[in-house]
Amino acid sequence: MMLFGKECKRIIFSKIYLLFFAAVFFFSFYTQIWSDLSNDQDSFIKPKPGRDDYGITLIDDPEVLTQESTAQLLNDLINNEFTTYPYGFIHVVHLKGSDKEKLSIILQKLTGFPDPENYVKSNCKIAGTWGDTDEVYTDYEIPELNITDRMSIEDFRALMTEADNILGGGSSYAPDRIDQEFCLGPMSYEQALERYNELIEDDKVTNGYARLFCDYHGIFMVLFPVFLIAVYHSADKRSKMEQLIYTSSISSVRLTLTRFAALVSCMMLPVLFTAVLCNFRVMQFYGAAGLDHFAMIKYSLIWILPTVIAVTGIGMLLMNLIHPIAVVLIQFAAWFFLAMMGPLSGHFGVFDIIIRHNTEYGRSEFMDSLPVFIENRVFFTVLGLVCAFAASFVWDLRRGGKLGGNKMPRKLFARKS
Amino acid sequence: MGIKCLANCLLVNLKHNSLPHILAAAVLTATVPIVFGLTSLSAPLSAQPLEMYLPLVGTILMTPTFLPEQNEDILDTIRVRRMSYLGICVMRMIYMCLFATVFFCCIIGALAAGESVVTPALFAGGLCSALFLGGLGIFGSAIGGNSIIGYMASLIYFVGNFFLKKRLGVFYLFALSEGTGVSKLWLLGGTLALIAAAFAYLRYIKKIH
Repeated sequence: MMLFGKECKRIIFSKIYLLFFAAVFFFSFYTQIWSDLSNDQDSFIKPKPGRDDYGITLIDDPEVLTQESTAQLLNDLINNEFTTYPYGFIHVVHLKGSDKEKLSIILQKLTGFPDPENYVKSNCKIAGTWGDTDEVYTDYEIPELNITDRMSIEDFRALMTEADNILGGGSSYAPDRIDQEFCLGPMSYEQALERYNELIEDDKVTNGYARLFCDYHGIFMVLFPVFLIAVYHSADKRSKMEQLIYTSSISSVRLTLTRFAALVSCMMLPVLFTAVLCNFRVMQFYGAAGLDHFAMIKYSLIWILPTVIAVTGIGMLLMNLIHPIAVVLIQFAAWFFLAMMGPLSGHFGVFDIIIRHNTEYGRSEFMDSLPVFIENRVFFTVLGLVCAFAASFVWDLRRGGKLGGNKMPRKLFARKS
Repeated sequence: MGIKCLANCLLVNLKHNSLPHILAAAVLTATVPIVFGLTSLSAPLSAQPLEMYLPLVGTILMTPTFLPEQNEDILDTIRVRRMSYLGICVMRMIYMCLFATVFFCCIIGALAAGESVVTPALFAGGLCSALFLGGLGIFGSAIGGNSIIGYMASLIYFVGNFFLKKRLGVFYLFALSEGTGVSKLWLLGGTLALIAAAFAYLRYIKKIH
């Protein structure tokens, strides 16, 4: 326990920890949920009947989904221009040869036209054109296709998934995006009221905001810890204490796990601090009565702690194997693509370290995913602990002179004097 | 200090200090056509790979300017040499800027080959974003006394652009992609100020020559 206290003190009074704390506070809290709470004043008021706009929501209407998405796919094929986001960034796809033929066959099945491209060009009016003189995208008015009369919604989704695969993934027709792209509609008063009541009564307000709070922290706590771990890891070497620690009587497992525990505890401090602040902020808008005042802390420990454990464990293991700068760059690259490619809400699997739920509403959707959420968090906790044990094993090998120096990829970065 | 001595110093630095970073930047550049489509892009879309991805070569290449001498033993050895330590750092920084320019030229070439819109403003704008990130890395490394702090400053600022967007004002890195119309000269000026501050700190506060 004394060693744990010493390690915590070492971390907390370092320059990098100050930066880490500031970064977590500013990026995960101040510019995100604090800003959301300040700007989104409509959320705090009970919806009143007779308003024009209650926001938008996903609508469960197979007619709309099939018509809108097929019309878009048809227009994209006629122009041979498909916009996709396979890695979170834009790709403009132009199909050639067999891929174009495969997509034409899919559209034949969807529309029932033997030659959908020519049919639309000859029989449909132009709704508008976009782009410059070299690259014009022509948008045709597609007639009612009545796709649901010819096939089941499952068959339709299978064909759209096939189309997405032909386009290389990340298109509007991908299974995890198609509803968000084509099935959004206006929310009714009843839906808005139900959503509000769910937040107030079932979530006791703070549980809803705690999910939003964890959504933001969950993104950044995959990235920020790696800098702290890297500096902390190299501190022994920089202060020329590495050899001295190697010769001390403390066991490798005890030292590594104590440091791991100290890092995780210190990293959670800004999260818990902002959780308390966030609770007070929500109280300012909703009043103290009827709120679950432990929701922010509870969600932080269930949602964010496993992320921190996993990132710290993986970081410590990698830093015992390769140069800390290489680990920083690798973890940054991994974070960048994970954060860019994921959807804002829902659709997370057991192996997704970043879980998104970018709304204070949606309790029922979250509860539907609860079993996967629990499996996910348990998986990352176990992964982090296994990596921490592996890091202690590798450190022990290094301590015994069986590993390290020129035997490792570290050689790549080593400078010969 | 003769030309031969400088050339020798350049080669030693390239081989022993900069090679892994140059290779990492080359790998990042090679992944641009995988992450982004480079064909038939309009000017704002062409700006995306040049502003939202490739500027990371600035971070990778320029941040480790002071890395080799982070080891105090090496710094002590360097201090007794006739050649100015900060002069060597300037030399490292200049050739790393040149490598960053080469990587930008490669992607500009790929965009042009893909019949995307390419203009000198896109090239210069993207490069200014890269230099600014590099400048932040150099500044963080110098003030923090640790290159990892430099990487942290630079990478977090880059990430911040995705979340804070136009709230960053004239120092917003993605101005060409978003069409804000703000001149990239602000970023260039910021880069020079950061680098000057970093070197001034080392020269006058840390008394390193």
